[in-house]
Formats: sequence, structure tokens, C-alpha cells
Amino acid sequence: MDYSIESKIGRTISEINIGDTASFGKTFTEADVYQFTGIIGNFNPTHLNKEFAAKTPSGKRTVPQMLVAGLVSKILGTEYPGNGTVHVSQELEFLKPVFMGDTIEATVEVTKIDGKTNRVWFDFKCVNRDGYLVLTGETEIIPPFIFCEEKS
Amino acid sequence: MKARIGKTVEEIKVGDCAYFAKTLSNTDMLLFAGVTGDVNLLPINDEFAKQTIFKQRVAHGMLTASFITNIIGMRLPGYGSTVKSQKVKFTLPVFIADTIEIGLTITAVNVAENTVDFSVVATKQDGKVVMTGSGVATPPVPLDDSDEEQEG
Repeated sequence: MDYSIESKIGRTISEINIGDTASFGKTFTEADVYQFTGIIGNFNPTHLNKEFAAKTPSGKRTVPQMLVAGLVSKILGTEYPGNGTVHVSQELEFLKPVFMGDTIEATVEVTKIDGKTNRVWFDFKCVNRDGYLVLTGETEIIPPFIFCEEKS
Repeated sequence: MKARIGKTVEEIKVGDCAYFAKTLSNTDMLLFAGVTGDVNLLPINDEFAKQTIFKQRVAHGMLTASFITNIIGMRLPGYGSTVKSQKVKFTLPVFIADTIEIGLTITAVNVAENTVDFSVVATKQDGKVVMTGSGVATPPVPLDDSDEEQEG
């Protein structure tokens, strides 16, 4: 099997263009929510307790917001630019609650490229089935690069 | 049964703080990759990661960032809270078996809007800062118990 990084790496900075977009959509289920809250240890009843959630303004159990934001991480880490991408910073604005059973489509768009520091900036948005924005934000990443070790 | 909520906006003061610390395991990273779909090879593939500048697998930035919601949902403000917006910067990579401590401090309280501003700093076991950030959270409002029978 070929383990060389060259064959596995995602897009390097020279293969990224301003205006490029990528998307991924997913239906969030109870299983996603329970697994995610377990990893994070966030047992906020707004996500896990039907009776509690019924008495809150949203009325229903909500999907953890960082799980929705994970869609963006998925696109950047596996599709565009892909393997080897490193997160540098991220700004998120949560506009509407997401409920179990909702299908959310995330789209990222390249807004800025800095070849000197090897950084790329994306704007992203997540939209629910009714077309409402549930999450917007921007993120800065280091796209994959071939690392050549100095031979001593 | 009376459900418990976290601190309401009136009960929170500027300077209030809360902490969460966790040793990051391989399991966390694999479960996070699975539930978000972010199967970027850098966090999950030893052979790929060895050929990068980091020399070993790096945790998903969003995993570290998600631990902020543990504090917000569980501790400060606690049960019933939601995050409105969040901004994070990843300053150093986090590796398997690193123990991450996240400290959250309330920087502003807005009773009229029912929001609190917070800042976060995440450090590793050696005291180095791995993530900084800030955001706005909505503390819980008293639960709507109007449907329930009055207790005597």
C-alpha cells in the first residue's frame, strides 16, 4: 500500500481559488446528538431531555450547535481542501435552533488566500430545509502542504 | 418533578468563571471524526500524520472548541443555556493524551437582551495556550410550567 503523503494530501494552496465553493448536507438524528454530547460531556438537557426542552422557548430538543458547526469541519477536512488541513481560527454565529430530523446543508466559499503565510479564509453558511440560515461564520485554515525535513 | 436550570442572567456577574479539563484520548478523536464525518487523515491516520510537520496525529480543532459548550451547558450559565456566537483561535496543536483545561470568564452581562459575553482560554498540561476565544451565550430563562398541575 502507498503510504506516501503526496498521494493522500488534499488541495495545496496553489490548487485553491477565490470563489471556489464546496457543500455537504446531513440529516441530524438523535443518535448524532447523543454520541456528540457523550464525547463532549455536555449533558445540557436542552439537547437530551424532551420534558425539559418542552418548557424552554425552543419547545423541542435541539442539536448541539457545535455539532452543526462540525459540518464545516467535515468539508474542510475531507473535501475542500481535504486531508492535512489545519484549523487556525473560526467565528460562528448561530441564528436559529436546529432540531433532530432537520437536514442542514453547509456551504463554504474561499474569500482570501495568502500564499506567503500559507493561509486560506472561507466564509460559510448552513441552511435548513426551509431555506433559513441557521449558522454563518468564517474560518481560517492552513491548507495541506508537503513538509520537507531538513537533512542534517 | 421540578427540573433544574442553570444560572439566569440576573445571577451571573462579570468575572464569574468556570473550568473544564479533560485528557484527550484516541477514542474522543475517532468518535468525533465519526459523528461529524470529518475523517481528515491528520487526526486519524498515524502514517499520514508522521509525514506532516506535526509528526503525529493532531486533534480536530473543533473538538477542542466544542468543550467550551460543556462549560456553557453544564456549569456557567448551565442547564438550558445556548450559544449565540463564538470566536476561537487555535494557537498550538493538541495531540492525543494531552490534558486540556478550558477556563471561561464572564466579561459582560446584558440583562435587557438576556445575554452574557464570555472569554475562553484553553491550556495544555505544560501551561501553554492552545486556544483562545470569546463569544456570547444566552442563559436559561425560567421553565414554562404552565401545563403542569400546581404543586400544593
